[in-house]
Amino acid sequence: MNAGLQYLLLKQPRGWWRRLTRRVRGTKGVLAILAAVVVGGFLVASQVLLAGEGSAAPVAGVRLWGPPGLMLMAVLGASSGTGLYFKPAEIDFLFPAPIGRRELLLYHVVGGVYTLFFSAVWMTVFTFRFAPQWYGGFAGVFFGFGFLQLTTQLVSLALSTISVGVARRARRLTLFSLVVLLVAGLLVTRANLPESNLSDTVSALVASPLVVVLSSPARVFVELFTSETPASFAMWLGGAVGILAVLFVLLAVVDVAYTEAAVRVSREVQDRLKRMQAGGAGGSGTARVATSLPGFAWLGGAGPIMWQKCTDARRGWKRLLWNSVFLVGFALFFVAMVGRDQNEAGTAFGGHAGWVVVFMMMLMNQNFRLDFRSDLDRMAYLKSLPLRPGMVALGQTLPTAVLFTLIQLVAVLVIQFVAGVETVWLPVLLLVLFPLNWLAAALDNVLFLWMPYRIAPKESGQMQFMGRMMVVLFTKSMIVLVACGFTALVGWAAWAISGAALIVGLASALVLGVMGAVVTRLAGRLFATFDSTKDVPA
Amino acid sequence: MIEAERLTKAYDKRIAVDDLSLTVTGGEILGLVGPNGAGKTTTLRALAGIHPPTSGSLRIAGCDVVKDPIAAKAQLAMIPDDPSLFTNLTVWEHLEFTAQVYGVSDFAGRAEGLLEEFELLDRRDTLADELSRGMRQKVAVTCALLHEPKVLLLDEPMTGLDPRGIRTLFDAVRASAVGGAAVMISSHLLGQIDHLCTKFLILSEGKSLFVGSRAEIVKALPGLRSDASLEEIFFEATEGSASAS
Repeated sequence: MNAGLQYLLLKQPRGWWRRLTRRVRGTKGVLAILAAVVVGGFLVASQVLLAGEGSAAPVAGVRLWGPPGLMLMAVLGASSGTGLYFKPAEIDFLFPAPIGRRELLLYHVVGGVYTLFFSAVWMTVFTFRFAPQWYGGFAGVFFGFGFLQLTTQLVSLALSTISVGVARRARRLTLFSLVVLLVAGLLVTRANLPESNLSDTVSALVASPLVVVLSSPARVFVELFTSETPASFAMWLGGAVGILAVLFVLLAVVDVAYTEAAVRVSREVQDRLKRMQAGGAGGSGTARVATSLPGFAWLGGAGPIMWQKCTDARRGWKRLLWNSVFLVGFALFFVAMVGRDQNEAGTAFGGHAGWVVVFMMMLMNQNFRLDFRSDLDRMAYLKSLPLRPGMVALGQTLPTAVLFTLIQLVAVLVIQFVAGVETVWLPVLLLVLFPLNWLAAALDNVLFLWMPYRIAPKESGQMQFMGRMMVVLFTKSMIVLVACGFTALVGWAAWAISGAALIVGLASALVLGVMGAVVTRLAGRLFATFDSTKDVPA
Repeated sequence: MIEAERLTKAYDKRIAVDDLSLTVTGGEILGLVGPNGAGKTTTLRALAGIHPPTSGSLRIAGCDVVKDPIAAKAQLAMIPDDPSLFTNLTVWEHLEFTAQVYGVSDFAGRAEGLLEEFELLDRRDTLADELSRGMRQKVAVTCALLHEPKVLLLDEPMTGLDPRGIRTLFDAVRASAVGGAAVMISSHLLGQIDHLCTKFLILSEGKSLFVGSRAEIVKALPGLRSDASLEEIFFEATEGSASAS
């Protein structure tokens, strides 16, 4: 391998460590590391406790579902791209350099091992309780990830040889065929087992000889994961290494001109990242809208900011709509199932309506960044506007709160209708939705302004980015939990005094609203002191 | 040094470069000019062996870019438009890495000289992601010049550079050409490259409109004064009007 490529591979972990330690400097860095340690420790401890309670799934279940699951992931992964991805710096420095295509490919595969290793360690934390031996668990995950990576690269390499249009059509055809095969398989299995329910039908399909044969390459990695003795571990390890070696040799043998496709893929990925940075995967769309929104009221300067955010949301309405429909449909499915089978429609309503609210507020918000998080590159411009920071913060946080509240209102009412329950607590839920969403949106912005970040998937900052997201989610959850606990106390007191659900709802909404206003004010202060001249790391 | 014969490059059905032939010999600096989408970057990338040509042949210092890419690439350096650096490497490590890629054994002295020339000496141990846009550009230039390439391909290299940086870059380009290198430079800053280049290639929609020295192009465009600026030449060639209206 070219000496320069070896140099890059050796420097990669050192550079990663250097970047990490650089960020630990200062109070913020130390606090972030402490938070990461607390969250990481909490996650590991929870998994260890679960393992101790013997709540692991039986090995037979892993062996049944694992191979088709891994194979499905391999097919989906392989059909997700139309060429190999190289980082922009690799394209600029390595593509015009006197380096052979195979050398570059080898560098690409070996360079991926670092990420693979850390991803496998992270995933093992959550899966080791399903494995009889920890070393088998780790090896199964590590080599399973390697299998996914190499199959994806092999297919991407093959797709580099055909035109983009043909590659995209081939990808769509593959996915369509997969869906057709799955549905056909389910229908045939169901016809053979007319008395079975959906769960039994899927289990029977997964255990059918055809699926077993099709997923046999992936079975090796699942057997490695579930190996119970050192002898079986060694045997399956040999098999896993063998499969990866075959894939690697295939990669080396297929000598195709992939650089042009790689340049295109890299540009597409970078463009997507920019769009995500500008408003999340669904927050900032490119859909054409016939008319522009009418201007909002001035509201101390918050109005124009809200107008801009709402215009952004409007252009991404398709993704937002589909995400919401999927979410509500998912909740309805469970409401219907639980309500019918257990005759506990009321509990189902409460549980699933709450689930929709919590999911949107905590998780979906990460994907629809209609606030400061999409304005990182425009902070200097925002600061130059003749507006009070508090008003800018208000304009940034209200659109998300209003939008999510409207969707949740519809979702909750639909779920309530399907569940067919009458509950006095429905008005309470409806009243607290808006202030709760406002509080959550304001918290997101406070955490972001305190420690901003850029999205950098597939870069060296990917693991840090994921870790940061977990810390942010954990911190936000804890604060929301405490806020809800306090609100519940106030609500309880209001109930004790008045005995009226409406009063409880109003009191709770008031408390949450005050908290939302305070946190938004804090976001305004952080915005006022935000130093847009500092480079924001990935 | 740089030879393209009937180069055609198509992306699916779109033809980016159409039947282009050119020669740049050692000591010449060719200015590649044309409107957006004219095929400038594609031409440079094809010459650098990144985009394989759909048809035609490309030679760098006598080596066929398609048949013998390693030998051809060993002779050239390319500075892309808005270059990306390795975020995990410092400025010095970029030079160290480049030296290893091109097999430059005793690079330290030349590397330090280049850092000094481009006012990067005090940034030697700075990580790439802590540099400004202009400084990143300078690092890419120093890396490109480190192995003293026989062919220099520069795609919009002035973007982000300060006046001092541009002057240093031009001095380095002239020095390379005087040393026998063949240079191709694409730019929209016509006033800047007007007096740098020894000849020009005007591209439009992938086709070569004119290639030759300024005097030759002016001669071929009868509507122009003999002392017409490159900007006037450009508008006359691409729009049939020397005034930029």
